[in-house]
Amino acid sequence: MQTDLARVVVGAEHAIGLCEELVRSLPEPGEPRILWEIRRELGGNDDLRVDDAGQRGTGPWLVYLHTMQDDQRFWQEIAKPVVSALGRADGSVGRLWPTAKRAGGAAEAVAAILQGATAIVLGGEAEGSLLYSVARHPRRAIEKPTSEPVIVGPKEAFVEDLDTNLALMRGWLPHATLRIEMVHVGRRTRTRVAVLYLEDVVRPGLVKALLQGLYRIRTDAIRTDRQVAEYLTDGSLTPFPLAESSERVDSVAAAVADGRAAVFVAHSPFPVRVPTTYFEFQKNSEAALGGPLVAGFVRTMRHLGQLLAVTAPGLVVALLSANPGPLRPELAATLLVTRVGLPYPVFPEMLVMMVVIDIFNEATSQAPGGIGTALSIVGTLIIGQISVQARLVSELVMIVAAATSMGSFLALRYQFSYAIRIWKYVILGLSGVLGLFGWIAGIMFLVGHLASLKSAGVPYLAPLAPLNPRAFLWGALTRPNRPQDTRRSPVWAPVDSTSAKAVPPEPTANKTPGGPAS
Amino acid sequence: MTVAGSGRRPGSGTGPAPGPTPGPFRLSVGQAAWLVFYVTVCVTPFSFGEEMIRALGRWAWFGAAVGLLPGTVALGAVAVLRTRLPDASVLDYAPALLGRFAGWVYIGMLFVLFAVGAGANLSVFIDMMHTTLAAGLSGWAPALVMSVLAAYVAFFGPEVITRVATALAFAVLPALAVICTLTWINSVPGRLWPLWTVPWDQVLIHVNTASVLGSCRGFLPLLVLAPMVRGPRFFRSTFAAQTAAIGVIMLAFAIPVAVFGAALAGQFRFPLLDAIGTLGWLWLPIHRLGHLAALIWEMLTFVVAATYIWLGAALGGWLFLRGRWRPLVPALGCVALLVGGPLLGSGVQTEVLTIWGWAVVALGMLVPIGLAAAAALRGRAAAS
Repeated sequence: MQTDLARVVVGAEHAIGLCEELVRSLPEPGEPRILWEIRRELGGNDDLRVDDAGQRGTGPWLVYLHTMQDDQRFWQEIAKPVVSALGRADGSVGRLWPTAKRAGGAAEAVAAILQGATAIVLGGEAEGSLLYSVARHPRRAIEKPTSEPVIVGPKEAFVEDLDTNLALMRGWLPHATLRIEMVHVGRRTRTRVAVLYLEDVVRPGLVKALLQGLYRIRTDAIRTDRQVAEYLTDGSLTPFPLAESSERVDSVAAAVADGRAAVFVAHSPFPVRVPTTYFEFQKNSEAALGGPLVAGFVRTMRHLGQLLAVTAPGLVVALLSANPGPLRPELAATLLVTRVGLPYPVFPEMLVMMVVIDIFNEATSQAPGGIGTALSIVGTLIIGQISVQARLVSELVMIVAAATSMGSFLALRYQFSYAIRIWKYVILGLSGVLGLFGWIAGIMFLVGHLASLKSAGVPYLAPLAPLNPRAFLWGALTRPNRPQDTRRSPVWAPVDSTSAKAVPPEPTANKTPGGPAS
Repeated sequence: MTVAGSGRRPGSGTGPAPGPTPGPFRLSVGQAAWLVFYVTVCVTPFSFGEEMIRALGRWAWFGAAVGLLPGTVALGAVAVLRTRLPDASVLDYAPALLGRFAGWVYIGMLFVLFAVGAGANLSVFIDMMHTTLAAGLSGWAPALVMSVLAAYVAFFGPEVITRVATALAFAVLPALAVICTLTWINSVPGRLWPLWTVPWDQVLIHVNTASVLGSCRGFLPLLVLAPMVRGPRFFRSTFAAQTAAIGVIMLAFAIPVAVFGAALAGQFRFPLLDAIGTLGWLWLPIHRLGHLAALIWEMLTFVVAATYIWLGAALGGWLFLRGRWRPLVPALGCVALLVGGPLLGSGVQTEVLTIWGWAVVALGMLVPIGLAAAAALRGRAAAS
């Protein structure tokens, strides 16, 4: 009996609670419906302000998130005019902000408030709401690029603010065919993502494919540009980046002018360029240093360094452990002498050293500046030197490990260096098991893998494979800038393949020597 | 071979064929297809037979030229097919031009031949690895690694195989250039004359080996690669480049054989320059380039194996597998390579087959000559 009574009491309390909540959720007398709907959507936020400017329950109401407002502008542009207009009886409050947008409904008003706007809800006959933004946007100043250092050339880098980035691009490409298509991605973050391209140049179908890829994203939150890039490249299981991030404005503008598309993500200073190829990751503004020959030299060094980083550990292991045949006898003898007294075969020794070096690299890159330097000293001087002196590691392995580490950082984009570091282990493993045969097999595996990749429909190894000799030479070296060079790179298959139109010769018939035409 | 298409595309109606170009004689699509099928099924496995070349003695060079002729004719016929039917592959030609039943029979035979070729190629590869890079390993280890890698590339299809071949060519061609240059600068090309003093039988053996640049021994390189090449424009350049490459390799083999004599030819077999190394030129560790040759061989075998796996798998898939079973295609190719190859490949070079080879080579010569003569007569009659 007592139990039943207790159940009845609990049920009654629950019902009373529901009723109270229902009453609270009902609109106040005289309160516009849109205000009630905004309260219902955003009511749980402590930073939501609903100010009744008239203090009489008749409005106008100012609805905003105070954490997003610029207080000074709010007072000057919204609150003060409202207060001064209250005394007038001509209903002029609605005309105080001629640039304000009229909200189509509560949903639009809620979305605008979440972006930092103030909803000015009018009561009485002028019922409705105006959206006027005095939002505070903390913005970083435009600075030098930090991840892509430039010795000679423009030093503008993108920032986190999307509008600033788009304005920078508009400044670099003030052309009528430059298009910006905006998409909101992420069900909860509603992150703005902009696709930027030249309408009369970009390959047909590329933008459509990109937009379709963006519309397909069904995630709650978008945090970084890499996340969008992964969605756009279908999350391919490869360590090689299939979309190229860059923080340099000139670099992205050049890519767009060449017929590629740039995808900007709000809150990210790294727009993504698509499509891209292996060779695009090797380019920088080195042509500005001294012309095409210097650029060719620099890029060749870069290729060699990366090739060394991927293949050198495996080659050393194969030559020293299984196939010393190709070595000259003198060299083979010298190398073998350095290994006398070492406790391990060369393969596990090299493997351990590679792991240790990569751990150091990762620790150095993650640690704050001062600690990073200290870690480098610990890694290189102390551990390296002592392990050689203690005869735990041979000098040759140490040299190869250092060269490999340096070579992997010749990659201009940081994410590309990870691909080099991962593939180094694949080739090293095959070399350790199968010798020189395994080394070549690993290289062929790498080539096969690279050949199988595509970025937005463009083969990753283009213009080498499929071969386009002219584009390959332009990509490997750099052609001199001459007026008669008017072709865009065919790799991106642009609609307009000419980057400059021929200038018709000026008519000479009406010209008078030494003066303007009469 | 100058040919011009006069045949019509299947289902293209009764209108004139697009863009016939004038030439000494005309080759229809049907005739070209017949030539291709004939050569692939009958000629190619036997056209480079060592025995039949050797039997000619001092006239072996003539035999070599005869052996190359059907292949050249077939390559031209493939060029015609690619020009006239640019969107079709070898697999599409057969049922479209021979009819459904004969087409299936042809493709089935082709499948067996590719298994044989792949197996022969693989067995040579294992043999070579045993003597060079992987002496301490079981023969099946390199074969398995190579097959798996080739299957991985073959899985992505002909476009990727072509890209791999192109990318690896940039590694192979400089190395090949080094080998050829070192061979040539230590040779006297004038000794190639008169031609019958050159032991062509020995040379041809190594041309067989060298023809791995595009295929395995006894198989037409471009016929295998043809389905991978998309446009007729690229086909022609590939054809020209591959023919030139084979020519260069042939000379690279021929000259040292002519200089050093047939006694050393046996040592040229796989590590190309081991024979030169035995001469004791110590100013350069030239004999160590044998390892370079071995590496090149490995790369080429990789591409060729991938090609065979794809073709064998595509044939198998075309015959048996559809839809969701397509992922089994590379596995099927791998099985064909590993099981069918060694079983069938060892029996190819026999004396009985040599007789067969001579017969089909003779036919291979007569058929195109007959076709050319008939076409020329038709053209003359039409002109008059």
